[in-house]
Amino acid sequence: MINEILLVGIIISIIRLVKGPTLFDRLLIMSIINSIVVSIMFIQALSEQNTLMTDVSLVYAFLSILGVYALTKYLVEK
Amino acid sequence: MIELIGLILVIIGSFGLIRMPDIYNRIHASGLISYGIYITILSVGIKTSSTLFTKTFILVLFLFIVSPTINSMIAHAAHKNKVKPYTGGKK
Repeated sequence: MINEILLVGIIISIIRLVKGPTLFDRLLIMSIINSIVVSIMFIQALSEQNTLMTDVSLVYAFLSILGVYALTKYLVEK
Repeated sequence: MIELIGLILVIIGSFGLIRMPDIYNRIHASGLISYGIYITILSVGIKTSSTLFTKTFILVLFLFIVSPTINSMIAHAAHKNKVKPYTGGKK
């Protein structure tokens, strides 16, 4: 039940991803969708008592933040 | 029961992402979504298991440090690229 409601949050955010007038709206929605996906993976792993999947979600969080960091750094220094 | 508060915060924040008129206002709504995610993960982690709680705490601490930093950097990049703030029709 928790995962479905978080998925509704992703679907509402995708409307802004499609409509967004500037590039920075899409960048913001990218970081938000990555955070919600990490939380969905972690909650699913907690409910299954799956230790491997929690490590996967930690690494996914780190890599997604690194991607958004690189894009914003490029856009500042452009 | 506490995770319902976090889920309500996530839904309200994602509606705020649609309704807000400007990139600088939408960043506030994204902060609301982040707080909803912290509350949800922490409540589920406390309720289900005690062995995985250290990983839950590490993940929430990481997101708690990094997510405001990323929002601030996006606002800085939008300001550098001359995105006009919303003034409500006035000059």
